[in-house]
Amino acid sequence: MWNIQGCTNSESERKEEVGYSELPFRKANKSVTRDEIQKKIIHIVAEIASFPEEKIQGSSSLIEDIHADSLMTYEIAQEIEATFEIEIDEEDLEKIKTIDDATNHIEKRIK
Amino acid sequence: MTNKKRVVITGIGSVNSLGNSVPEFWEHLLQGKSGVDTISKFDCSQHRCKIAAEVKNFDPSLVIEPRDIRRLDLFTQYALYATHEAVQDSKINFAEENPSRISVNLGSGMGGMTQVEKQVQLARDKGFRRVAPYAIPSAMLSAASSEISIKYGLKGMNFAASAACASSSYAIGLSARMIQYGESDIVVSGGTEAVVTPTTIAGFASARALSKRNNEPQKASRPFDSERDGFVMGEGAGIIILEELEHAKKRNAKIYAELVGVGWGADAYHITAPDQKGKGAEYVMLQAINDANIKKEQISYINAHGTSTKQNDFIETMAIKSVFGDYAYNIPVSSTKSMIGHLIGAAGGIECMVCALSIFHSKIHGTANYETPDPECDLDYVPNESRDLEVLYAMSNSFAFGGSNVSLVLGKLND
Repeated sequence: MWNIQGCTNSESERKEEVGYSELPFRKANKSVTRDEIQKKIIHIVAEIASFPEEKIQGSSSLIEDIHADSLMTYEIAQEIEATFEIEIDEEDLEKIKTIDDATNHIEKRIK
Repeated sequence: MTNKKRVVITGIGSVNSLGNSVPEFWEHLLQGKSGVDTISKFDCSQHRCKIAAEVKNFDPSLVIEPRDIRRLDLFTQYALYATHEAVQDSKINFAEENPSRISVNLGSGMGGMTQVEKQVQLARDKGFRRVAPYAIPSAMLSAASSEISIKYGLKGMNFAASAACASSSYAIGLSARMIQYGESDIVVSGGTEAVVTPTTIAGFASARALSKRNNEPQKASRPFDSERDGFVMGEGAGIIILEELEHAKKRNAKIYAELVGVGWGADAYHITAPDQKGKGAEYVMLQAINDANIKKEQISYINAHGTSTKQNDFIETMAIKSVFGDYAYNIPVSSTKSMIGHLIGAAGGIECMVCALSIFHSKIHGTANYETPDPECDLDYVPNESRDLEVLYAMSNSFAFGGSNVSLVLGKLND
């Protein structure tokens, strides 16, 4: 990967660009707790939305509180898919409105 | 058409290798500085060409929200940054204008190439499901004009003009027509380009268009000099606010120059090489002078396309001599590309701006690196030093891959 101004990709890709790769979240966290899942989701959302991490809570709505548009929602979903090594169905994605919704979905899928 | 409305330039903004604002750029141009250096944006060790005129110390966060920076291709970031300067410079208050009477029309040769290259690599490395949702709206040629339309709420025409190295000259010409025809009062025009990317540089180098003077970057762009060996890639944006004259007068706008003539046409010859007799170039220069309704001897200065390729500089010289006859030797001709390289789809925007500045400040910049005369290029190329000159009419030439040619004539405003 070449690094170029104006084309920032996800955090995991940037880490590869600087020379180390992160173990997929699941393999590195065999007994992952709900809190850890939520923390990771909040981190992804904060990163993509350039939103202060400490201001995001479980009840935060992606659209109303984080002001994500549809494209940003898809980007967040793709990053979550890659991080937790799952594929989220379009129908399920439509139901995810808040951080808690996303956490519940992931928790159900990976446990 | 008769009774066409008059078009003036009331705001300018730029980002390029010589500065991230117009005053900085203009000062460095007059000093004859070079913006060319070894490529820093990517590892160029495998490339034939290792030099470019890159934008330096660019901080988009001064103008663009952080969450937007990550999804916008660099060519759109440059456009938004330069538009911010142009709008401030023009002192237009969009809230007081009818938004449907304000259009955006920007030139770009290649659009979001940075994004395209990045997403192709991402797809290959990580799979097609990882391609970003903003890949397409970020890479499309009209991304830059659209982001400007959305940011400022401009509801007139919104589109991109693309004709390789003549893109922004086409955009400016079309924008002028939109105002002359009464379709818009104001058009945000000019162009933007960000193609210092690994594959684009490799592609231009493989076509043998780029200079290989890798060990002397600042000497590489040397238009009209006999030792020239190709152009140097540049990047950035040149944004021009075009406004209907009466509209500009009503709000007491600062007027840099009037856009008086547009000439356009095509070589219909070859996808990269110019018509070997320069007929296409000759035609558009004559047409622009005709459209301006002036005598050719009234042209005080030519801002040449002047790329520093063997073919362009020789053929452009031939065409200028065909148009102006012996009078060609009385007209100073200089190349902005000698200092900021070739900005492809943004070149015409910046060079039109340079003509407007030359008229406004009565100064013309020189052609840098002009050291060894070429017998086939025997005009006054304003070697290395800028000059004081009262510029009444200036001509800006753009001749593109694909054979698209545009010549613009700007004039000092007289009533």
